[in-house]
Amino acid sequence: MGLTPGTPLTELKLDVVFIGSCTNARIEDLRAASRIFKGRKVAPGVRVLVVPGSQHVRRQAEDERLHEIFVAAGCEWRQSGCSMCLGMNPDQLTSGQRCASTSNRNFEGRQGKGGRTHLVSPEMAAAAAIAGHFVDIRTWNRN
Amino acid sequence: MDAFRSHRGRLAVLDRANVDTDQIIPKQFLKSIARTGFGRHLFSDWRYLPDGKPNPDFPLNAERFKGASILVARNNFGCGSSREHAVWAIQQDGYRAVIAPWQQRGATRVPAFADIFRNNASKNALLTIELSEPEVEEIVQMVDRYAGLEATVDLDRQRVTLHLPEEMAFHFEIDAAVKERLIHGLDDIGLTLKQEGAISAFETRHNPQLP
Repeated sequence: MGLTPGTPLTELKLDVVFIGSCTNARIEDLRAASRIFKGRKVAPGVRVLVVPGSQHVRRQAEDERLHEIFVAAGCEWRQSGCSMCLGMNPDQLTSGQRCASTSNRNFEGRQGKGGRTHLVSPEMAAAAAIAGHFVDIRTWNRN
Repeated sequence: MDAFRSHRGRLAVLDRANVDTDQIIPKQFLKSIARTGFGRHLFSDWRYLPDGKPNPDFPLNAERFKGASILVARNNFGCGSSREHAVWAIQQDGYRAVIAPWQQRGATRVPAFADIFRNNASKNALLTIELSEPEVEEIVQMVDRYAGLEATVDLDRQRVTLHLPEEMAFHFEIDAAVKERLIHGLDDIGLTLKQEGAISAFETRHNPQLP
């Protein structure tokens, strides 16, 4: 995982943020993430994938115009699917990349061989995408 | 489904706990629409170097485990995603049985095998054998000491016997229904077809009544 004991999470820089998976990309998850992204920008060098949990959720999110918030912030607004939850398609981490992921499985190599997965909530993921490193959403300044 | 009564074969040890299905058969190999060809991808990320050559540091690549058909692992084997491919990959790489220890953690008994994996195994005639931790430790040490050690798994008598100069045997428990099905080679379809006479009789009686 490339971690040293005693390192605060806030010092861990991120390469990829994955807001997706069937378990944590429901409409309420996308709403929660969009509230964080609204009027803000993704930190330079961070790739953010927003992948709705289903086509139904995707349509619902577009009806609510959430996708506009994601795109304006610099996220990729994607078709629904498994995407980086397990990386069966090309959505994979490369070796050594660190990812904040709203999926629910962090098995070795699951998001791509050598990738480093941290599991977070949709809000934590969104805030980390903006900061470029992990933050504690409970103390993060939303204003 | 093939029947499983008794099997003699070489033991191989994978000295790791919590081996998950993402390691057993990584996702990039799940796209096949056939149920064959998974064997060479078993433990792919551990087993091969980036250039595709066998990784000499991966224990199951060792010469002493070549041709092994009984895998000895540690606690909570097969956890993770529910993929039947994990069972197929293990079988198609030549294994007939997997041995792992259950573990007592405080008030909790952690089974040797993750539930879905164990169920998938039972429906594919891959025998999963649960022993205690000291028993599995003993087997691991014996495999360590005697290169090429073989064992016989006797499902009928629920016994694993190590073929040492002085034989060593371990009794194991198994669900009676699972045992019955394995011995007779009955998967879910096979079990249903045991009632074929009754099914045919019903269809003969019932179908003419339909418009």
